[in-house]
Amino acid sequence: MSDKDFEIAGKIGNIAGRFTEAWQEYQDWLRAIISSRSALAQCYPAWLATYIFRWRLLYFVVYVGSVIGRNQIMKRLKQLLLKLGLMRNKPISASSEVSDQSIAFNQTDFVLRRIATLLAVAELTLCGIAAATGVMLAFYYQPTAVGAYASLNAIAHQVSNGTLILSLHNIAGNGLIVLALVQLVVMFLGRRFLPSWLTAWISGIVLTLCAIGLSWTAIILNWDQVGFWRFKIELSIIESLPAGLLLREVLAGGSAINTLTLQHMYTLHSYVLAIAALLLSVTHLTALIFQEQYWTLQQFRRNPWSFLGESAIKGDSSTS
Amino acid sequence: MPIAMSDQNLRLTPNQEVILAALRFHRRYGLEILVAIEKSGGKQIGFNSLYPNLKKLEEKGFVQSEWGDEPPEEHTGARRKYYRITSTGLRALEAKQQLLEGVATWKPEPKGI
Repeated sequence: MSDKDFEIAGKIGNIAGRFTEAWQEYQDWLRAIISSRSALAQCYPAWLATYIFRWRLLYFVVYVGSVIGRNQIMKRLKQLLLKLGLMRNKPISASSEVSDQSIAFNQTDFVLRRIATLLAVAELTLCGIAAATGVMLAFYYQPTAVGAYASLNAIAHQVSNGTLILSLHNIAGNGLIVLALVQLVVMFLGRRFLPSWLTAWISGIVLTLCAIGLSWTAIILNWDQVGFWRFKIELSIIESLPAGLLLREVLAGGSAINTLTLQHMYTLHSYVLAIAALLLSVTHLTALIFQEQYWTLQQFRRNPWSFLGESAIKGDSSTS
Repeated sequence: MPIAMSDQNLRLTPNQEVILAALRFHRRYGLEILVAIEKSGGKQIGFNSLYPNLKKLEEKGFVQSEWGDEPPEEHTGARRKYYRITSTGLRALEAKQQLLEGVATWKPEPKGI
């Protein structure tokens, strides 16, 4: 084991030492990595021992780094929510240590739950915008090989506010994908295996898939060069899957890409996936609201005092 | 409902079960836990999964840690921590063993002739 390895470990120790909380928790892990070096040197050839030693250091850095990163993000989010007034700075409760601890313990969950609910509201809003602008576009759009490009061109240049509607439709669609993916991460971090959470989780996953599907079916709707060739390549990929030929026939309406393909994609985009996305985002938000209600009830059962104002508690104590 | 909740709280993953078993009669530090498992021929635990599991057990209140008396390591200044099983940890371990025993001794109810 070379001195260089110790140098690396020393540097990692120095950097990790700056984050007091994580260092207090994980410094024994780093010590164990260094202590295990002699055993590694005895069991393995030098190069392999060095490799394993460095791999352990790398894993330590990534793991502890992610813990530090998560803590920082949660701290920032908490500050932000405090600033926005979405969270109470101090729990208003009878001054018992137990209730303070339970609320402090639940604060991370509370923040994650609230973010998930807000994201679901944003998703539904984006779905609504995409649906409304989609209906407006459908007034003028022609799903034919001859008319698609020309009609979109006419929407952009001749219809009043056409560019705005088209841009809003695109932004809402892409924004929905981004928010749905972020929502999955947030829900995973705040996972609680309750029926409401599970409903929101499954509807969230299907909504993400729907949003991606909506984006995919829209590729060909522009009927421009990029869309056409991209769609052609992707159809070839689909064809290489098991039962891909049938799937391609169903999606494209034959072996060529023509008006029929455009009509198939338009139908899937506007009638199947768009309606599914709307229903799913409503289900998703409803499930998350149920989850909020469930936890509020739990919190009330555990600590009813926290639902009374401080003045009410003081008033009670002064009258008694 | 409270019983179901407490059962759920006492759940252990296979790795956590082995770690708790290694701490049953002795307080040990991380590497010692690994060696104890390895030397007793038990289920091997990856070096990298030991400490995350110990932290999870500590968060659940199944183990508690305390600093060792050894001086800090010379290159990093890292100190050693010893882990000790708590009464809740013992309960979790017993619950797991009871479950295994229950599974082993279960017999189908004889049906009427």
